[in-house]
Amino acid sequence: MQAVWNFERMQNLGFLYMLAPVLNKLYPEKEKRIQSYKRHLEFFNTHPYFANVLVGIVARLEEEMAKGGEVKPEEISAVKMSMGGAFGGIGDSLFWGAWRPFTALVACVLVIIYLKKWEGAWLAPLIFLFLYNFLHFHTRIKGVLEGYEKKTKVVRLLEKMHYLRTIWSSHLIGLALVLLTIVVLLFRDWRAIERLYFLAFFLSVVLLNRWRISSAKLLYLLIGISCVGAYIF
Amino acid sequence: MIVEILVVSFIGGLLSLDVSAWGQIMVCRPIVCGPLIGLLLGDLKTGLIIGVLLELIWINVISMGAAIPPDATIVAVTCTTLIMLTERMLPLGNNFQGSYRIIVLALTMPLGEIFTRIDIKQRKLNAHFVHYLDREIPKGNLKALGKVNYFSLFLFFLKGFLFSLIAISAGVYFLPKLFSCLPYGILTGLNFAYRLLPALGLAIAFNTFRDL
Repeated sequence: MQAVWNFERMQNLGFLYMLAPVLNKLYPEKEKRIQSYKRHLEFFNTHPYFANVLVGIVARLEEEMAKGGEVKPEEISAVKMSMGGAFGGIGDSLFWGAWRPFTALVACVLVIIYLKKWEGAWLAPLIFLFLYNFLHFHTRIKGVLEGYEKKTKVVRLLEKMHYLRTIWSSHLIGLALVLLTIVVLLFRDWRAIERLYFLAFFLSVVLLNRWRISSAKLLYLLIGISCVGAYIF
Repeated sequence: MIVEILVVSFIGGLLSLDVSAWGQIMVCRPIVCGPLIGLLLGDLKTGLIIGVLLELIWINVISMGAAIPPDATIVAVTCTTLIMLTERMLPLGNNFQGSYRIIVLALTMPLGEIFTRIDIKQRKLNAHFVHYLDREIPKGNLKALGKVNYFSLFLFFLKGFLFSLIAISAGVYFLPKLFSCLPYGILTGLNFAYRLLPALGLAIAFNTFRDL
């Protein structure tokens, strides 16, 4: 889908590539087919998973137009623009902003807590892949089907996905998981001074990261401080 | 060793496709590709540990719309591979294993930024493909669309493959030499830093989820 992602028209070729089989079927005559391809060379961008919804909708609209319905090419363009943008924003905050960090955190916490006692820690990445792709493939498959069936009314699909609640609750559970892991780590058989260092460092990174200091810089800061510290103490 | 580097780079190229060009089923995340490389090189546990550390550090890295963040995949692939291949050559012992790992981690971090620069160059280059199709499709050459897609996909793979090949080969050559130059005092400090890495990762995860 995003193989020919470019700064000029972003996902236009990926989208056209997905739509091409539909266009080939709808327009057997070469001249009309070329025209339809040309129309879809225009700018297009959305969230890659939700692109399927748009493919569904556009396939339906193209079909209606080919059969002599009242749909105009400009309408298809407008639908692509407006819904692409809206789904793009929702997809970014749902998948990149909430669901992926959350499922990844679940896997990380499993590894951190169980690595020493439990032989099955290697299952954690598989759990991550399964959890994440459950919602991912659900969105893709449902998206293309519902998009074709319901056209622009597909927005209702989002209501059914409860996407705001998903974002909100994965953030909340994520926070709880982080705190739980910290508590579990602090109750390990460390020396008191180690616990203190751990907690102090955790809190200072939380604060520093708030001031937009990137994780890479914080890593170098940690290395610098501990090297200097090693010479002083 | 050479076969191992080639195989890992090949896998690295495939995994880097998953970042954006094809699929996006998230096998490209450090938590998956760390253990995967570990499995390939015969030490799943080390791969898992490195994968988790990197995943937590990069948990907030997201590509919003047109923005392209530093590439976590290439760092995870090179970092895990280098740690596993070079630790065999060094007499580290339990005391300095952590110090060595954090050095490799710190040195491979900037690769993500460099890789992203190359990525942006390629995405600019992709505009030429669009112009090529602008010319070809009116002529009736509809097959060009599929060809362009697969060719661009191949370029994405090639980029990941060559980049990890070069980075890993250079690392295998230089890292052991660098490590033997380091003074003893620094090594103790680095070991301490390595033990605090989970706190760094968890703090970043905490901030990610606090931004509602």
